[in-house]
Amino acid sequence: MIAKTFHKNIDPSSPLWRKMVFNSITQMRRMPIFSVLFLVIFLICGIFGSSLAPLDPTDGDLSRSLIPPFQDRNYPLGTDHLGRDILSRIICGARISMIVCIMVIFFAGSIGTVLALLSGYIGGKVDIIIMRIVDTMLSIPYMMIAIALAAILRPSLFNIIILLSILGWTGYARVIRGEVLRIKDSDFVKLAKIDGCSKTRILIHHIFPNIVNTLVILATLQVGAVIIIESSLSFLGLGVPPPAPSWGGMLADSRSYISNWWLSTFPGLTIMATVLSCNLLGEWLRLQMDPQFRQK
Amino acid sequence: MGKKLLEVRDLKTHLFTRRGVIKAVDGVSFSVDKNETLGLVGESGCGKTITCLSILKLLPNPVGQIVGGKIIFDNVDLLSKSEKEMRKIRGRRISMILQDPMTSLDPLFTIGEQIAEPIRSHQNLERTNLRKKIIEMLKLVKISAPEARIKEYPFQMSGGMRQRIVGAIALSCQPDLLIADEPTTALDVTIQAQFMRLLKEIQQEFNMAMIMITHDFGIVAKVCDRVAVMYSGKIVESAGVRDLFNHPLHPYTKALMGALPKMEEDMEKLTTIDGQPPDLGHLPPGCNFAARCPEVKEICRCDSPILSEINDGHVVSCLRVQ
Repeated sequence: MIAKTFHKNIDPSSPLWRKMVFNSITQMRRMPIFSVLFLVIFLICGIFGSSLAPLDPTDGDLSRSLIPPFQDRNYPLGTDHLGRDILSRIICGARISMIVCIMVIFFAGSIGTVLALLSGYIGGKVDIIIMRIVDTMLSIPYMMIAIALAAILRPSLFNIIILLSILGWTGYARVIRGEVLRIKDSDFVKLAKIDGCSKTRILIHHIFPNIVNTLVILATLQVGAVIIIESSLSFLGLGVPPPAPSWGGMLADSRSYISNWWLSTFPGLTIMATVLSCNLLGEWLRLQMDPQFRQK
Repeated sequence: MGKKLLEVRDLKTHLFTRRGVIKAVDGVSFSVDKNETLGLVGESGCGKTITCLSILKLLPNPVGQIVGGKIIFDNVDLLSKSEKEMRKIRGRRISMILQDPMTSLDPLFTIGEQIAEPIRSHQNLERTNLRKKIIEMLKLVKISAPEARIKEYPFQMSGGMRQRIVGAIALSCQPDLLIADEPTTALDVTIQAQFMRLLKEIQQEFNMAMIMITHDFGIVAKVCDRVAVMYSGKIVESAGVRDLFNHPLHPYTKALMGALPKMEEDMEKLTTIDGQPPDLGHLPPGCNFAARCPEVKEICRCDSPILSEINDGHVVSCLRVQ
């Protein structure tokens, strides 16, 4: 019954604007609302964090340390061991996670995609060289090299972005190259050649759109990975240096106060919710971009 | 006979694989006149498709290499053309239809965009004219309601419709030569006949030459003017369609026709040709068909036959006939 009401069709004679509204509503039909809402809040916090936070995230009051949540009106999520407001720190910490995510996905995704396209499409020696580099990079434990490099490079936001981008592109390269190889041999690429398309045009116009799907999934999955690795580095004291608030750093600080559960629980829940939202949204986007699913 | 549009002379295309050199096309010669349909018949793996890919110079790189011969199209040798010049010929002068309509369309683009592709690469048309042209092409291949269909995706169409769309793409620049690589193998029988009739009609409208790759003698009889029978990378017999059906000379051609089911006779079992085609990487001396030939003689196992004309336009390569 519900499915039927959803599939109601619009009167074809209705004006164009109504059709457009109807179409966009039906397209949004299965959008994961909670994920989108959460990510919007995440983005707003990332952009306007410091002006949204009720209190200064770095200003502690030792006489008010370790207040449990939901007890003091001024500190809804409690305070940490230095008397800083946890809610404010979570809100301000979104900025670092957001910047790292966006930058790393952009750089790692671009490097990975371009190299994978070249590797898969040109083949031969180019392919061998690029894929052996990928193999080498993948054989080194991600966390270990991150720790080593972070220790050498001095912890800073910029260095973390560079580091994660250099480590992150290999996943894209490996998966997308496989896709390129599959699409390169498909009949429609053959037909495009027969129609007189140039190699560049085939690459940009036929192969790239067909891998965007995979690219989106990889990118959304990487959001989770990046947030977690950034948090892990901060947790190990190799991430963004204190006192700047970051989610991983908050977790790290809380480890000696494990009986004061709210110190670790709230930043942990935030990380979990962000990663989950990104994955759900990615799944929805993937379906939206496939014409076959879009029209069902 | 009309003017020669395409002439292939002693074409040799070899595949350089890890297991050695495979002589996929080994000295093939044929010609196609303007407005004529040549049928290229033979079993799987005998080099039909490689021959046609050689004409377009789209062999799998670097495995496939043209090692000898000439391909003369409209008085120009295609083998001397650069890749850039070839691109201007592909799609505009020579076009091709592939076997499987389910995979030859890009699933992410509407059929309108896909038909526009060759037109865009070869002609400058503004938007409204382009749209008109696309609709015209859809009408040509008898797609109903072209204005609505233009926005649809390949997955929304049936196999027969997709193959007609592929046809529309191939014909959109009005090529002089259309190569159809088993265009009906993936379609069911009723659609097959419909599609062939359509191709024939369009051919007459456009004055186009066709090379029809097939292994279906029914199609050959209906559409082709002349037939070339290929076996293991060589043309073994070539003749006008009537001539070939009435007087097949090569034992392979006879065997192929014998393998057709006949309605009027009550047959228990279909006749087949015993044995397998030879491994093109290790050809035995003598005639390639010797091992399977029902009329084989001692000489066939050591001497290679050459193509020779028996009577007007009918050529055969068989020692026994000569």
